[in-house]
Amino acid sequence: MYSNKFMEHFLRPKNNGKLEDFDFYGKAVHSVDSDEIVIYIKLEGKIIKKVGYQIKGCPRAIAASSAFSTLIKGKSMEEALNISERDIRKELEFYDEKFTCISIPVEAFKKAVEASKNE
Amino acid sequence: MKKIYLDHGATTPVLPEVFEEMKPYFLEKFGNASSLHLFGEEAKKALESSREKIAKLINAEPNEIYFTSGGTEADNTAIIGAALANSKKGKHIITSPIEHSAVLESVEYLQKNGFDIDFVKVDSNGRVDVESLKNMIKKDTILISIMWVNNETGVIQPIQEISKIARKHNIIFHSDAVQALGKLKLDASWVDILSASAHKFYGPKGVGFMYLKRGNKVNPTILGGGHERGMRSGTENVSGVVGMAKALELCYRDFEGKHEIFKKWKDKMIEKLEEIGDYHINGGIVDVLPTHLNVSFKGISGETLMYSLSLNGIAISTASACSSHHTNKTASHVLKAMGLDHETIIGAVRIVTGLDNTDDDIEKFLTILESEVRRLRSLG
Repeated sequence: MYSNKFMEHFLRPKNNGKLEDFDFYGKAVHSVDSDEIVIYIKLEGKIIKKVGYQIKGCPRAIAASSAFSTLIKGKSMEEALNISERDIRKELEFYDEKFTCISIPVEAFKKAVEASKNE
Repeated sequence: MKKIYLDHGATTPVLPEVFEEMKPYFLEKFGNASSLHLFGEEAKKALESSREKIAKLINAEPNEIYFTSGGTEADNTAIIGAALANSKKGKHIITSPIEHSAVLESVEYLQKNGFDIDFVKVDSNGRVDVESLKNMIKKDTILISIMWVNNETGVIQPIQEISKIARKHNIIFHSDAVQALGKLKLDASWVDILSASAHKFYGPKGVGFMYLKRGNKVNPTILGGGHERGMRSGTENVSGVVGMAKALELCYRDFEGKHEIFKKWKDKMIEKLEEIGDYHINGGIVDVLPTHLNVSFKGISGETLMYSLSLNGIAISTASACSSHHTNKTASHVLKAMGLDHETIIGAVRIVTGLDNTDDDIEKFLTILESEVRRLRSLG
């Protein structure tokens, strides 16, 4: 059912954990499945230097959070905002659209960006 | 990697002795039990001796046993067939919200066809509230259908109490015993109709039976040939029936000894849960099968734990997932009816031990369970 890339992200999630030193954070909860993620961002200039996250959820939410963290790390905020659910699916080689939990890290990141604007 | 199967509520392996007993009925004894020649007679003899064996084990008469293709068909026939056969007396049926979908969809079908259905309340452990059931009885109640044991929690229902109530009011009492038979020594005479499935008790898939107490009426739902005394048409699955009878016989051999082993394993599991902490046993621990443990770990999705264990070679199950592969069902209807909170429902996993497990299996499972629960909790 899942690809090797998916399994790798699920079994050994990259960048997992809360950042003690972060610039802003965002939280998202999946409305149906109750998957919950808090994402933390640390910038260096305009570049995302560090990403961290805490995740409670299904295997897809965990793998998606790990994949998303690797996709945005080292990118500018503008570039990171263009990373979509589709990019995560590509990274995980998981294309079953019935599962919407893949989008949860994207939502959390958008909330983090909004929060940063309000600061 | 050694695989460990702890999902005996879903299905069980066919025991080697069962397979051996079935083999001749695929090869040299392949006759159609309806044929009048020697091959047919041989098949018919095997069918009838299996019927006698099963009847004796559940305290029934052989002519009260009707072979079916499994539990779903037995449930469908029992409920729809009993409702149709007794519709002149009334159209009210009582069941519970924690039944298997084979029962729930049967009553839903009847509701769409003019029957009146009421669902009895269950308590927080998923046990049917007998007082609430009593109060639901009307003059036109013709059928009560309550499962013997819940498939998700292993909770044993108060069948004998319900039986007394049904009898007092002259109402037909059906029980889906698919999860119970072989795991409990049950007395079919407590109920009027009972459904069972062989693959849940170490027999083959695709065969089951309906027990119908003499004097009760059920209309057949599968027509064309008049097999099974007109109750269930279709060429009999002789090898399957032979396997089913042998499997039940083996389940009941040293039943108490097997029960003790299951209890010992369950006690070990509960000890481990105490060490891990932050857990909830869904259905409690009183009047629950010793084979079954339904548990939620705080902060972990049941699907994630199931998947993590599967990657370690261990099979357990969960009734709740983001989206099932067959339906859009998102959470267990059983745990919902018990009034559990969403996190507990999403976190639930079911562990069901079986005859093929060993002490080593349980030890290894508990070690991996603990490390996976700790790993997954550390992510959040």
